[in-house]
Amino acid sequence: MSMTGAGRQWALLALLALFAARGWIYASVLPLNGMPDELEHMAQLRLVQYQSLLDQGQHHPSLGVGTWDVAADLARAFNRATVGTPQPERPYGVAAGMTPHSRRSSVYYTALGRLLGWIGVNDPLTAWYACRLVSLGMGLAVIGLVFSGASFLCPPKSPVPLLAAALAGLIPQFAALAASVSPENLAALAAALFFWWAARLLGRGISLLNIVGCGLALIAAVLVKKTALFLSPLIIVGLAARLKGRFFRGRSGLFWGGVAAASLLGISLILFYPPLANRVARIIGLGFYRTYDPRFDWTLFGQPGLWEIIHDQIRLTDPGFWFHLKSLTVIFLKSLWAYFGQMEVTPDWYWYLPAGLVLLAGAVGCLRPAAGVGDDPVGHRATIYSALAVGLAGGLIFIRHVLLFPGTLAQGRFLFPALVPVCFLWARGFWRLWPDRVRGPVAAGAIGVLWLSDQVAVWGAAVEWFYRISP
Amino acid sequence: MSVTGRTIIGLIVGLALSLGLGWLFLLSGPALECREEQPSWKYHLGALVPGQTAGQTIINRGGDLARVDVRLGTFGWPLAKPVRLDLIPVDDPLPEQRYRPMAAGHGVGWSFRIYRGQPMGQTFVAHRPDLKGIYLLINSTWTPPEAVVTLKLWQDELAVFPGKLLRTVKLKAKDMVQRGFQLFPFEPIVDSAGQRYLFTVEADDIGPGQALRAQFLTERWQYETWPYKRAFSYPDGQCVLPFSEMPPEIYKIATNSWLGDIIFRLAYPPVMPTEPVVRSVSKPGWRITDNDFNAFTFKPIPGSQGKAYYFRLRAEPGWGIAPTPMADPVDRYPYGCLTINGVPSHGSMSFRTYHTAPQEQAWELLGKRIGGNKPGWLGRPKVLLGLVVGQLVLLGLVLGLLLRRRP
Repeated sequence: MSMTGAGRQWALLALLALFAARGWIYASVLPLNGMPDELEHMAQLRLVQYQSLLDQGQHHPSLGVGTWDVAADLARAFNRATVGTPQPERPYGVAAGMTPHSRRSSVYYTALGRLLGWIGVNDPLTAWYACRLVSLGMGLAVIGLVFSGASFLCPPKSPVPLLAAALAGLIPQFAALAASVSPENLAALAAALFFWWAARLLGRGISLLNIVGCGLALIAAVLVKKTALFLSPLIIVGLAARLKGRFFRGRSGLFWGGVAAASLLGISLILFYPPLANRVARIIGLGFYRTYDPRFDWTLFGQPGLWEIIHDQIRLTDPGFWFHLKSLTVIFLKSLWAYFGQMEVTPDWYWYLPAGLVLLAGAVGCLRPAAGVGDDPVGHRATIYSALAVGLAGGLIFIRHVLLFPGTLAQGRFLFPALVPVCFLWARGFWRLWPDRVRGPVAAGAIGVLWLSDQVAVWGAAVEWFYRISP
Repeated sequence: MSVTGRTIIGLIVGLALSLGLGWLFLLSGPALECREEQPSWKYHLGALVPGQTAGQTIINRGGDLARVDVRLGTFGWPLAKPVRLDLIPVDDPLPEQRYRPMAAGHGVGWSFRIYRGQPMGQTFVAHRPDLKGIYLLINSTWTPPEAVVTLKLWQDELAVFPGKLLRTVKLKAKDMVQRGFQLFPFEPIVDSAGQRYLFTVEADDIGPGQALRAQFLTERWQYETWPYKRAFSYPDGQCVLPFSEMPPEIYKIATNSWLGDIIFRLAYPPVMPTEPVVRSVSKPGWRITDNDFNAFTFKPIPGSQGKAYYFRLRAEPGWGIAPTPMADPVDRYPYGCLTINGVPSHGSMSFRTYHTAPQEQAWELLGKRIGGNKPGWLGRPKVLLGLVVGQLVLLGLVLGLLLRRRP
């Protein structure tokens, strides 16, 4: 079963329009500060908008001259906008922890703050919703990149790219996040761009353009969010796989022994040498407070460093450790699909089952042995790299929340920078799972189920929670 | 079949599914609106093991009471024992009276410091008999542990000021909450209903840097940039401040544009239910969602607007973990009290109550709440409806193109 090129393009446009419609609904339904930390992000980019005025000691007619005034202006707008709603989100959180800081910078804050300043949007509510709509545009771009990236990796008439874009476009959490003010949106877009270049390189072969594009996209992704450094091992693995024929063929055991020893030394230094452990933790954007323990011994191969943390946190014989891991996993999976508000608004658990079964079917399809790898070598290679990417991203999330920040939640939105490989993996696996004659109807049914699950999430959970009305 | 035919079929199926879903969510019963709620503070009461009950008295200020949501915890376990909620009317003749004035809005305007030579007071009216204490919202972070704070209760008489001293309560700072409502208990005043009183709070041995802080609200905010909502003043009394150069007398201050009221609550014995159960609902264990509000829906109770009720939770036999109601250990809900095994206790359970509302009114209200205060076309009900219908069309197009057969 296949689709024409024109059919795929029209279907993509319809999907993008569908996502835009859903995103508009989420932007309307989600109250201000309806997604995690939205108020703080908004305060930060408003500070960027007014920083030049504050630096000159001037003030906007409605503001004072301090960062507190930026926050107060936003808080007034927040309170004005939430008059009449049953319960403003986190009323006690409006003032506490909201004062923006100049040191807390990000490309997202700078870009949107300067855009607001350039356009001249001073009303805080208008600015807030304008930023939400700009973020929605980033979400749309991600879906387009998912489709286009998968197109490089599939035969020309394959519906797999459309399925991949459909999954990306129908995840309620992704739409809700895209419809709110959050730097995660730009991080997802930057990482999606990297994966797009990587797919182009994989699908169209090595060329200077593809290599440079991949490299620049990686640098851009890391500049936007340091945790995007999880993408770098993919470069290394990809290069090694590509060059294995030319560089590694015929090497002696001594060579491989040296490679193994060097790898072991590097890992040991990271585990046991605190200065390097701190650097690694800081480079990957994680808090390093755990590695600044005064008990640390600076002797190589001694007690301290990440090894001590691993020893503290990985307690295989402690039922509490396994319970904690189970809770983290459940919250991660739920928040990957739909978990709105400040991690408190969810559909009832059984509403996750239909979407969960659809996603599981895709995962099962990925595990099917590749029949005739030679028929689709690009797709086969892309599946392996995508699985590696998803594994790296997921591994980093769990390392952070199990080892370094044990009291925090592993949220599904942290996986959205890896949305391109996630969606490609699911779509390819789902498509390959079914016999050819039923693939189309089953895929259509799956899309229908995902869309219905999204409607339950927004109208059955979000609207009832935020507006306290059960029609 | 042609592409058009498949697309039309897809649209019809989609429409039928949506209507079915719509009926399930929208039209299968009366619209319900939540008017009363006590937010969760994620504190677990004891598990509802066999023989244990937990309850809360509430007031229904909306239409016919039809649903009570209670926040339950199951510690991540997927299966819980079934939970039954019993609803019992409370014979309370004054459910609408604000017998415990509460903090308005979500913040406070001023923090008044109580230290040596700086007493403060508040007049009030007790609407119930057996007044047995006064709660003040305080912060004793900087107060020395051995410092003594004295609350005096006076009869508030027009001709004599102050009137007769009725009660004196002395508490040490170390025995008080550091931040929150602190109860100053005294011997119950049996005939307190309808009487006017004045309470004063003073400290003999606390210096200015060690002040006990009490919170009060202002009628009008002095600083417009203050990010809190406006307060309202207590209608049955006013704040009374001393002139520090003339201790210990206290003078009433007639009108002052920026003074308001001390945040306080009055303590009375709780009114407990005596009538039989009017509604009893059981929720199956597999439907209980961990760390979330769980709905107990029942047939609406006619004529329940403005009445007080008591809901009681107990677990029923079954597989799974005994759920725990979630509550706050501090009295936050002013119109009722928490009970554990039928005995009144400090704290407030996390709950919401829903009452019936006419469908049109509910939709109108929902439309206003979603649509209000948003710029442009965001949140407009007709736009949202159009977007939902538009999604069906777009989905039909996607599915139709996907199902189009090509060799």
